[in-house]
Amino acid sequence: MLAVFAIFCTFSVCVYAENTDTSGSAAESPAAASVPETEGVKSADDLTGKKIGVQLGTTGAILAEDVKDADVQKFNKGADAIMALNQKKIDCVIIDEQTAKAFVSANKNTLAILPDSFADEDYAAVISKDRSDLLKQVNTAIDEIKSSGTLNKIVSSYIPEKESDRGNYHYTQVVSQGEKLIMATNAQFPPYEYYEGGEITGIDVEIGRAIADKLGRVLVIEDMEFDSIIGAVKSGKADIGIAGFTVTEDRAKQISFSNSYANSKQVIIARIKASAVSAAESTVSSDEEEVPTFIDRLYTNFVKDDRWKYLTTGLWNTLQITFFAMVIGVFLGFLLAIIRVAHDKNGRVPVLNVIAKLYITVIRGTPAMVQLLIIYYVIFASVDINKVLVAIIAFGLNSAAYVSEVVRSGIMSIDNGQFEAGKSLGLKFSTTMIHVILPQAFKNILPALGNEFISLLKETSISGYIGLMDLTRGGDIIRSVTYEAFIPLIAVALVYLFLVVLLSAGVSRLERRLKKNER
Amino acid sequence: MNADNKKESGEVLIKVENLCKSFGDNVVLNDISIDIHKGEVISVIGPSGCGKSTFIRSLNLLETPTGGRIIFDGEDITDRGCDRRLVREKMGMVFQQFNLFDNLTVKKNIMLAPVKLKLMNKSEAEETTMKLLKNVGLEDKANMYPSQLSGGQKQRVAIARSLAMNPKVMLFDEPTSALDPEMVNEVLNIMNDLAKKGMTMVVVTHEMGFAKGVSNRVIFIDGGKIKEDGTPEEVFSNPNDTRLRDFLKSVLK
Repeated sequence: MLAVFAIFCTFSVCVYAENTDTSGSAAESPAAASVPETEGVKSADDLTGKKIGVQLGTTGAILAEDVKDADVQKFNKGADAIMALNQKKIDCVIIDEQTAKAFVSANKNTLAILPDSFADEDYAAVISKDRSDLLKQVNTAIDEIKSSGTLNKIVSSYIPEKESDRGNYHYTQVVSQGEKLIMATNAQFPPYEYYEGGEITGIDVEIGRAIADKLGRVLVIEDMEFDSIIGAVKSGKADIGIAGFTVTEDRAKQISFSNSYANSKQVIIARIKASAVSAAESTVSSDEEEVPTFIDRLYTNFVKDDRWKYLTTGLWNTLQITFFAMVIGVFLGFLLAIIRVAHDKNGRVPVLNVIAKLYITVIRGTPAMVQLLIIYYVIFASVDINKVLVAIIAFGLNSAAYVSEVVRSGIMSIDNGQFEAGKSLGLKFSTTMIHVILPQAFKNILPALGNEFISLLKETSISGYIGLMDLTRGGDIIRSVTYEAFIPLIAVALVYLFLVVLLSAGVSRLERRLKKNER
Repeated sequence: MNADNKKESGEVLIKVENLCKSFGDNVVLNDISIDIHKGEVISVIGPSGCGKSTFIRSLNLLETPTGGRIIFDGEDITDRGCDRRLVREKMGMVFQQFNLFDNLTVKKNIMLAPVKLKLMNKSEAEETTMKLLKNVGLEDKANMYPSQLSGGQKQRVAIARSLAMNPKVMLFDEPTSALDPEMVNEVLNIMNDLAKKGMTMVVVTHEMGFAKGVSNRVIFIDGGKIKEDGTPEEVFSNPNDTRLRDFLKSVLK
């Protein structure tokens, strides 16, 4: 316990002073002067009893819990919290300063950052407690990057004092082969980590590259939910987590923090009062601050920076997962069903029957999302495995349980006389099954099977939880950069709808064909 | 009894010894013993629920006996080590509800077992099938599905399907009971032909005409026991058992 505190104190001591100047007060003070009047929350002292939006797992979320009588609502993404704020579902959002600036600049007319900050924080990388060697190396690397001025250059390129300095420096990795350094992050947190042109970029990413160079390793970035990162680092899925992690005592119990590489503030975003909005609008309207047309919005969401590629890549992954999961589900599902029927009809395979029953009970008794997380973070914890493959396995195993019950009901609906006729001719159970029972059962269960495929396709939308970019996640990424909900969500919904309509049409066509065959 | 003479005449094909069958507490067959000889055509009659269906279904082990033994062709088929599948290959069975494979054409219904059990190759099976279909007068239905046939036609196909396995005995479980009256005869005629060709047959039936006219032995089962066993003349003209007398009165009205 004492040791933890000792570490904790060191973090606070090594606050990176130069950085404060660039990211903090200098850039902020002019803004602070011109904050328009806000509604709901007017200052940091005004939070009591308010509805506060935060991002799940962030420092803001932890600290907001201490606000008296506040209703703290945790969102998966900062962008979702901002959306809720705009829609007046919450009174304010507490979030990291730099992220807040990005959000507010995208919502200039409606949102403002309150001048007084909510809390100060240090950012550090997280490393598993079992890997003190790596921690030591990373700390040395961070110290070197600081003293050489590289860190400062990276930060001031993303958070420039003058807008003209933006993007004037980028750190590219020198080491191109050798051992991998897997960095877990959550690319929904500009300017520290976010998607741009299909790539994850940001301050943390470049710092990660610089650290990897110092270690002589190649940086590999794994994008995942923010609250999954510590788990991934602990389980060995990732070597290091860099995602604007604030040093907190609770986290320090779980994981080791590196020396801090930046500091920031948690600030409060609130809605600008309606009267203040119109005033602000009247003053700015002379500028190019027009309400974007629908075409503009389509352009921003899909065409700009090739953002449509998030949807196509996501769609491709969704299709792959669904297809192969279906194959596994049908194969394993039929097998399970046959085991159960062989037992119920003939009293055979009692042990397999118990296993099959147990399997079906467990799979149907737990949520698919939990299964997916267990397979990725527990079963394949220390294996470097393709996430699409993980999703295929998870959804395939899940679907099999449902398919097996559908198939079983189909088999049981076939008249017992068909089984007896097969028996009386001396046919093996398996021969009767394959040539007589299953073809008839298949025809009967096709509608139910089609239904299961439709559920499966839509269920894959939770793949984002293991950081896999499926269709839904693709839409989420667009949302996180354009700060718009309507267009990306509707687009994603339409694609799913189209796929389901296509799938249903395929199933009914097959149904008609089988009907014609047998009358 | 005259039936004893018969028993001497042919070789015993199926020997049933003290056969018992109960479903839970319900005793359906109670100590049945009978010798079935090669070439015999046996009609099994009795009131409904008497156990005659269970009896015939026990012969090819669709029902597992709870007691006693069945010796078929010299082998104890109730022995645990016996392969029931091989036994059933040699015992044809025709069901009340036909039980044709609904997903297969008439031809494939008949060919499936001989081909899958490698008793014939495809072309042999096809040849046999067409010959059998000709015998039952349905060669033009070869490529139809069961749902396109009448009940009588289905049952004739079912008989042909069993015959394709070249069985040593044919078991008929109320083969005409599910048929419309005008179709009963087309099926009985086929069975008559079969009897004339010397096929050993066990027929559970309500057709007293068939029992009298075609079979050469009639057994009457009541309460899970064989109450009467003899030639049709003995059983029908001179019944000893009072229950048989009541039964015959009710069915021959």
